[in-house]
Amino acid sequence: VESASVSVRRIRRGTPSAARQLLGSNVFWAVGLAIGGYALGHWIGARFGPHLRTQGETDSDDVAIFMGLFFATLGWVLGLGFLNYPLGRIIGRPPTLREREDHGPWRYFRLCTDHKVVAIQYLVAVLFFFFVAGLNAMFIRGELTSDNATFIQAGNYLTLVGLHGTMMLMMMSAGVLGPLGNYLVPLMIGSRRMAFPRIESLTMWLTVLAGFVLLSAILLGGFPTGWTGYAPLADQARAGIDAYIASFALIGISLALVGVNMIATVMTMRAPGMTWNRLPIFVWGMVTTSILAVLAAPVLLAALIMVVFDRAMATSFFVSSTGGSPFLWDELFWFFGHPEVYILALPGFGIVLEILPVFARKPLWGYRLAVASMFGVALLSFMVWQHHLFMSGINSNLRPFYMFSTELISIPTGLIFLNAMGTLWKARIRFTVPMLFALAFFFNFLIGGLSGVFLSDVTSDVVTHGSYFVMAHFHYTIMGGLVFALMGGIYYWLPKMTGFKLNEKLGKIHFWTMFIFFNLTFFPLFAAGMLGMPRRVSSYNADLHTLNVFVSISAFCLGASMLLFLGNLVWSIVLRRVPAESNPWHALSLEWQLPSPVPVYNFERIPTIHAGPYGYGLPERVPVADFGTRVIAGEGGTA
Amino acid sequence: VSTGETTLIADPEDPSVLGANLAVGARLLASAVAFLFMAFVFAFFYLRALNTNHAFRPPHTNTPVGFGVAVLACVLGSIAVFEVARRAFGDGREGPWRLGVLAAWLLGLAAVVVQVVEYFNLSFGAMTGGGLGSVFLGFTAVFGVFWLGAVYWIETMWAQSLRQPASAAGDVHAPSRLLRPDADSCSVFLYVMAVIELFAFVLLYLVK
Repeated sequence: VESASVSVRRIRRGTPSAARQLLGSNVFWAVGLAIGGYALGHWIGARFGPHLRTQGETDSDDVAIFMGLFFATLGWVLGLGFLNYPLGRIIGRPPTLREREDHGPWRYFRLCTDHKVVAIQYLVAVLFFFFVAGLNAMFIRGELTSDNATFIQAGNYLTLVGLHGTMMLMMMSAGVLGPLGNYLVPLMIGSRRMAFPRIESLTMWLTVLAGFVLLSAILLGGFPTGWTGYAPLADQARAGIDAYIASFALIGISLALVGVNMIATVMTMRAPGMTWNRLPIFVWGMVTTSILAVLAAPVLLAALIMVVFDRAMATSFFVSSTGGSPFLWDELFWFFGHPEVYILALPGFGIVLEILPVFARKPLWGYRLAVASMFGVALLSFMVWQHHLFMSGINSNLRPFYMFSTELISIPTGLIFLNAMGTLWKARIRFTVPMLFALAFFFNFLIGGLSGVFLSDVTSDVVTHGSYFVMAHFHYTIMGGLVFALMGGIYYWLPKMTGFKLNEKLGKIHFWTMFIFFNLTFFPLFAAGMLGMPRRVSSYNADLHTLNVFVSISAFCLGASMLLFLGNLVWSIVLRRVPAESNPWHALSLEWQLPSPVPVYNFERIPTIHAGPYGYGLPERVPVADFGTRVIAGEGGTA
Repeated sequence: VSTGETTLIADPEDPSVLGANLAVGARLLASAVAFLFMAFVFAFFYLRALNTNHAFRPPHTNTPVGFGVAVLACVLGSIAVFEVARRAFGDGREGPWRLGVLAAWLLGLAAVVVQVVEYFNLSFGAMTGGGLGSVFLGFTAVFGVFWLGAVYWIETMWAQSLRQPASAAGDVHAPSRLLRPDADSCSVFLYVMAVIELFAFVLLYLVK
């Protein structure tokens, strides 16, 4: 032992050789065992499946495929070493929290219980699948340059749309909770870890597996349902839908566990003095998102299990002729699906409200109002799901209630805008790249939100339902909202996460091209929808051809802007590697008071918190935290 | 071969921190599980109300009440015995704790066995059971999976208490000090499972 402080010790310890590490649990074993597991499961399923099911709506060997996917998942977690601990507990080994933490790049390829490593794993995985799904979008827009099917057949087009939508939704659900939530929440609340570090790591690796399982749908013949998986199509579709079901189930499990872990962390791991009133607004965003994840994702999981039963055992949850109903899927799916929209929106609110005060150099206006609004959005999001069924034959007496409850949700959302305006009022704004993305979030989300009011209204929904108007609306909220916020968050926190500065000039070029071409891509689609262009179909009225060509060109430019972002990451983090200052934005929140990148155990001593993180410009501001003897990096000076 | 890098290690935390993690985590997990089963409860009422093709409950679809009572008894019995054992542990009586946890574990396993036997004694199949048959199979199978999880949790406490007697715990960092919060958290989860099983019994066996 070299030295010892009160609670963190430095020891010299042998690091296993590369060969030894290769032999241990890691992603390479996981891939091998997952493939082997699939083969074994498929064989078992093919052998015993016919006994389970004698007749059904599909001709594919669903039992074998589901068994294969189940065993593949087992192989995956076994290869990564996730079963070592639970098996050890069976024979009475005592509970422990973390695996041994090592340095070096190897830890990124295996189970690691350092929340910062997990977050970076998440970020890489989410960005990878984001780009894959984005590539799908480019193919879709390529096909839509013609008013009739050209290089993509109608069935394949549906699969492409489904893959794009499902992957984007799945990955964006994890997009903020995973990378930013896992990295920042422990730092922001003064903790060394998440409450359940192994579960944290498991959720990351399940997300990765889910992405690849979803891609395997292509090998299984694709799926025709889009991201919504509607019955009875899901019951009748070819085997590709099995991959959709399995991947969404994995994401559902992952999402629920992330939520449990996040809430438990914030409730139990806060540093002394970190009262609820002092929690950064980003943490509140994570908490409210997690509440939705914990309560909504299990309903999705249950619905997916019902589809598995229908397909593998020929039960009749969604089969009208034998006592089921396809509308049951609609109800269950949207009970998850609408909170899911806010699982995507609330983290965005958290990010932008965290960024605004830093670059406005003013306290966050209406902190408590913002927290209450987030809870209001979360609560109301469980009461609106039937607006997705306005056109599905629901009892017409139910429509006014769901129309009203949906429109009600615009009130807490509007209050978030009020928080932003109050913060920006008379501020001396610094237009950095994160700030530009944060401001763009409000511009885009305003358009997305206002168009949502039209869709919540029964009479106008009757006209626009199933059209590109809906498509434009949700792209404005999800891409214009969450993705812009995520980009802002990445530019804001990546120097802390990696220890390297991102190129500001490239960042600004990225922002402006993304902002301009995003709007040029999606705004005209409101018009396309109003003119009757339907979703999920590659053929459309020839009158809309010019409009679609314009949109496609804009979409390609939007895609190119994402390459600029990728280029900036490679340039700044791989090639240039200019070390970032500890606190380049002169922010007050706890994470910025630590060195960049943050040490393994975050804090040498658990800090004592004295104030909230938004005292910008206040003459009577006290230091945010007492870190013991260390000099902190922010404008708070020593604490 | 080793490179001998410097590694930071944190001193063990006070078990009360992990205890608090467990307490909150168990309640959240129980909430998530409750919502998962709410989907099946919703499916039951929804399909029953629609009764499409008058096939929600075909005439031959009769769920065997005897088996239902047996599963219910095993589940509730397991939870009750665990609760008694947990209180004994709280009083510092290790013998009854170990015995009780073992009995709870065995009763829990018995519930799963009875459930599997029931599947071979149904008057309907997956395809012929109508809406009720579907909900029955889905609800009970998923409950079985989660119940196995609960049984696993009980077993880990039994195994740990055999390996590290609580009375040997001299310092605050002893792992055995985690047994109490572990047992408390497990009991929260078990109570929720009991409520779910009661719901399942009433809906699947008693409601006509």
